[in-house]
Amino acid sequence: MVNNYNVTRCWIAVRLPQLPLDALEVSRQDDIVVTQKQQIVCVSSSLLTKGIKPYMPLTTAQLLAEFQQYKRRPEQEFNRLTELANQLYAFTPYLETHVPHEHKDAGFTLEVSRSLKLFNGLSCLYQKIYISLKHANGHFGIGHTPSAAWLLSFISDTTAPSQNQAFDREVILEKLSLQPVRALTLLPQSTLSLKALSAEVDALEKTGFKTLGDILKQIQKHSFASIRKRWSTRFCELMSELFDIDQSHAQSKIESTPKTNDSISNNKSPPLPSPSLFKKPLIIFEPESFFYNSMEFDYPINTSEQLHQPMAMLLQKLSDYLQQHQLQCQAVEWRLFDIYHDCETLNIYSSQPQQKWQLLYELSQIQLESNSLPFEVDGIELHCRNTQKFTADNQTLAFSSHAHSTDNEAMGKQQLQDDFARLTAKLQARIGNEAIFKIDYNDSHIPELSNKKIDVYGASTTTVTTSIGARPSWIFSQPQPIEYKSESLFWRGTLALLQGPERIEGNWWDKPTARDYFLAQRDDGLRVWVFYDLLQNKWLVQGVFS
Amino acid sequence: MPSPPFRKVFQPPSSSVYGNEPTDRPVNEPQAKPSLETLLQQGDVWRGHSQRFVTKDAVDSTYPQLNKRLLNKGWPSSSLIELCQASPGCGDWLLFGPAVMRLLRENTLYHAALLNPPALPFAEGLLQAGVPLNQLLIVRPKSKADFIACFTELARSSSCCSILAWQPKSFLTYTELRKCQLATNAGKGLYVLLRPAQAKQSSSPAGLRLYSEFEGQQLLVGIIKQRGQLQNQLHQAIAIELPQQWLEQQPHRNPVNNSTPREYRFYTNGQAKQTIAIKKNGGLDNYRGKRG
Repeated sequence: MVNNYNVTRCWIAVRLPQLPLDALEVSRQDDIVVTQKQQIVCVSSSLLTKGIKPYMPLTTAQLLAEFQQYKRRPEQEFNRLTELANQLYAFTPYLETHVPHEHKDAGFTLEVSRSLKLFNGLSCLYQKIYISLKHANGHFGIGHTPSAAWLLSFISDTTAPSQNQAFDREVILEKLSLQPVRALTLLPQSTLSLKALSAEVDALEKTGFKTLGDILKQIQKHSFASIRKRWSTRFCELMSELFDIDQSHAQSKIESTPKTNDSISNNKSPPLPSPSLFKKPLIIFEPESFFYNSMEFDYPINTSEQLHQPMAMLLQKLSDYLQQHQLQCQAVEWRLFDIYHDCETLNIYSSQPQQKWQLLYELSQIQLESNSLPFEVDGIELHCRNTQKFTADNQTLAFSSHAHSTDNEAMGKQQLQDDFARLTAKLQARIGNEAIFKIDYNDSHIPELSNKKIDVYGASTTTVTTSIGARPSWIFSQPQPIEYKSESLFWRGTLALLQGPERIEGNWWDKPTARDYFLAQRDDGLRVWVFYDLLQNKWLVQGVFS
Repeated sequence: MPSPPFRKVFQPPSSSVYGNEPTDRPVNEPQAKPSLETLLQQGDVWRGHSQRFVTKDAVDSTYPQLNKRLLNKGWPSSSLIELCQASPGCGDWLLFGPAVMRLLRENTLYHAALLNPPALPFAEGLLQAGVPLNQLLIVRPKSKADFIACFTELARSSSCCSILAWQPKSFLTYTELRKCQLATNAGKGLYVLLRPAQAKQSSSPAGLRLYSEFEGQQLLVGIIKQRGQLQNQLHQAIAIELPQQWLEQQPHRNPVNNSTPREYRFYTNGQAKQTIAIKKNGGLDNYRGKRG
């Protein structure tokens, strides 16, 4: 073994064919299949013996045995993968996640060459990863490239490398040579589409290439150019990635000084092509980061005012964290604990993302005021899981007096916007999101349908189609019935018609409406907008002029 | 999953007040003591007759006869204005709408708040009157406590240039009104509290108190109280002409009693469609509005 861990890359592939079943969290002892689009994607081990295999049509499987059928849950699978990725981050940061696909297994490829010293060699590291993912039923493979490691994870006799066994590229290439060319379709690659890759594999089989070893021999004998002549550039790229060989003629030439490898020298076959000089950049895994901080008190706290100071201190720490990581957040979670570890949760939401702590503190105070403490608080925790990247606003540079005044205006504008965000957030925290809104004009002939509520940050219409008659400033979303007393109209007073009628008809596709609108005066002088419903034959009040 | 960091033990001081807790950033900045001038500028210190000479910011009401009677030639800003209405909707938009629109036009980032309105504002009607809907915020508190809290928050916010607030069903006490009045002193806008006519009898700390009622083709506005003016200086009610659109176009035939044939101009969805006549005994029960 050459002591060049820093140079030679070593990949471990972890394939998770049982992930769809794991994500369901059901007993593995039962006969269960997981399906997607009428195709089986995962089978419990008991059914494998009955001839049911993954990627088999569901109808075929139903003829073979009886089983419980579950639909695939991609979201849960993704969550499970993230959980496992966080576990594997303990071994290496160079971690690529392969998400579940209709025809391919999910899993990971890990580059571990830089972790070998830390974990006392490949064998120990492999054992640790294996133990860490034991419950996930992973299939493991070791290779000099991620693709090679992935393909070798399909060999059932893959065992942990022994303590003294070296990581040898030639041994891996030898194992890889035995694999059929059809195995290429199982690679989690994005170079070629599955359809195009299947076509290339068909062409390979027709030409007489049965195993990957046949392709390797061809490269050894006639350099990579012979492959490039017959197959597409993308397929050559895939081969280059799989075997770690450069495509260029000069570098893929047969080495002049053959290695003293027994297996190769005994067969007297041409030596293997040298590894590529150009390495693909490694993908670095970034674990999900979140903010967490807590405080414990010397004695239990029984009034919410006493919590204000600890809350402010924790929120200041959150603000520091957000500024250091260039993040902002819209929601935080407070957890209050008593001495018996009973937990009470307070969720704080802000309508605009925040990086500073003041608004979150004010919102927390409002929440505390509205909810009395359920118990004497012994400890408090602050969680902020969902963050987003900080988006800074552009400001003009004040080089001249004009620019300076523009800058002041921009600052004033920013202050007003911030103040409005703070105001709405406070009001929403107190009275709820539904109780604070704006109105907008909806293009409809029916008055109550032409009015709609929108969010406080929604944009309202600025123009309206010209209507011929006067319109009131207040409207009843449910028109108020008018009583008919002593041959006159009565709604909180006697009404006398002043103007009208203005006929409004429409909405025939939903609820046909035909109304004659009048401007009426009540006996106290109030002007109201009334209408006569031609379909229901009754008088109603629609709005008030004020 | 990364394990959470160690729990840090927070040791509060022996007293329940955390005011002296050493922090890098204090929670509440100590406020400077107000000077005598600042206090006098607030206008809530009794200074006899001299106060009438203190000029304060005011918003033009756009009614010359009303401006003439108001001390600073307009609606006082940073002060609570109370309007006791004979009935809900009695001249609220008519009196304060022009001043609110003037403030909203000053800065497109300003907002006017309608707090606890009696009905939903009609978008078409407000657009017709020129009110920018984008700057109109409707707040509907559920209780009186929420009403007071919302009013004070809105009044203290610099992005809210005016408040039209309708008193909740339960009566506001003097203390609650005083809270609202103090909150308006912190703001710089136009703050109006609309109350029923019964509230006219009770005392209030509002800087300007008015009542309004319709009479014929006019809106009568009376000043009950104006800070800086003696009660005996308050004159009779001011008459404001109603908009032309609200007036009777022609003496309308009452369909109940008037048997004179009368022409109706019908409009269908904004277009003059046809003219029909309702003939004798055209009482309301006989009005069936033939469909064109």
